Amino acid sequence: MIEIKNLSKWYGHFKVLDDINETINRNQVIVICGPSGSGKSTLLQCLNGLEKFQEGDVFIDGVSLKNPKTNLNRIRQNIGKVFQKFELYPHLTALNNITLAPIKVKKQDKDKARERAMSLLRRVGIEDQAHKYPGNLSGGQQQRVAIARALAMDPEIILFDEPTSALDPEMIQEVLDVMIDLANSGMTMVVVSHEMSFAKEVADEIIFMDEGRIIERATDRAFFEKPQTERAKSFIDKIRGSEGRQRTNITAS
Amino acid sequence: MGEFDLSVIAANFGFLMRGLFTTFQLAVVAITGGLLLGIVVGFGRLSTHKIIFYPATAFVYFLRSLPVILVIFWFYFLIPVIVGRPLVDFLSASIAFIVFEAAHFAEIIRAGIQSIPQGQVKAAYSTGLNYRQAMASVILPQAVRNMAPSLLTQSVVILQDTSLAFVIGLNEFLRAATVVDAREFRSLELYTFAGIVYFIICFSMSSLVKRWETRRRMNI
Repeated sequence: MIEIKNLSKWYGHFKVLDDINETINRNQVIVICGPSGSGKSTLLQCLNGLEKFQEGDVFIDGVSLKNPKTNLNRIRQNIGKVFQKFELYPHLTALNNITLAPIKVKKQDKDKARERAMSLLRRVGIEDQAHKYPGNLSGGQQQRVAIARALAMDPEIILFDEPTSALDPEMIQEVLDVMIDLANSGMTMVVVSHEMSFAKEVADEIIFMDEGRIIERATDRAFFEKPQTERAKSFIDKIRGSEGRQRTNITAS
Repeated sequence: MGEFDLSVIAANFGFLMRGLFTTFQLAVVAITGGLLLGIVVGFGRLSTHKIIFYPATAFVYFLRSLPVILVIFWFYFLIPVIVGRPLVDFLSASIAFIVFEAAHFAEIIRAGIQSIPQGQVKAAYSTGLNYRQAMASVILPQAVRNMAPSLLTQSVVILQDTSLAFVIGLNEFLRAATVVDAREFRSLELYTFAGIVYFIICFSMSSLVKRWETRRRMNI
């Protein structure tokens, strides 16, 4: 479904992605983790053509993203994306955030699009917030609207770029629950995240990146228990520490 | 001269108001035309095509470096050379203002569009919207709200600046006052009256902008 071949990318002289190779199959859930600046988000941006790359190629269902003839808008309709900072449109209600692309791009009937949006909001558990503007929603609610917005285009793949890292700790679980539900329904997902609980529960493969390279791959939770490389080990120790601190904070408050 | 005699204003009220009407006419033409041309130039400033970007940028930088009075004079003398016959002063002033204000409006429009965070653009593209759809449904609705106060403030400035068209003999409000003054020698009364009229119009427009802006800020 997604094939990444010898992908390299530079910002000026700085190599952000260094010879990435990866195949993501239908219905798979891939979790990418790694320290900040390791190129995870950049990699994600390359998968739907939001970022250009200099070497290698990415194929979506066999279609090359590098080929200038490829219609990127068409490809993106099939690849949803959820952002760290939600990126809901502030001038539109939750409902209209969701219906915008189906109406404009897929030329869906407005009533049908609204009906579908309502059922998606029901699915992510915030039907009652449909007519609120993003500014009046909590972070967790905003991110759930953003997931519903991605789902409204009926994509086969959804990319998640640190979907819980801008959230207050007590809101993380409500977003993770939606994501776990999606994963269990067979959605193909590429998730940049440090949420070990999520990775352990639904990831088919965990990728550890550092300095623009894939350092380690693991097919199960073994990655968190017994990382193969020293870098991965020290990274896991660090996120364990911070997750522990967050939990203490919640109990304390 | 002696005492402050307001009868001069009453006696010439019709003439003065015709001047004020010309001032409004010129302001409306300058704002509308300047805005339309400014939209084109503003988008040109955002273009990734060099053939569009550089001329638009040169236009903006050049005109923003000139005093408006020079531009008024310049068009007044330049256009007859190009078209072969003199233009009526209103048309000449209109063209000068449209071109001059377009450069200022263009920068407000460019800045307004660029004030929308990249994340919004990426979110729009991620759902399959193309450039035009993203612009129309996501970027412009937000950008227009951001740029509206600046556009309105600039419009107030334009209304004041139209008084400079008197240098080419256009009978706008300020010139109407000077014409009456040349006949009646009542400078103090006439210029005080003109000042009050300009103040009332521009101050109420700016207050409206300010009130609107505070309301908008409270809504967000």
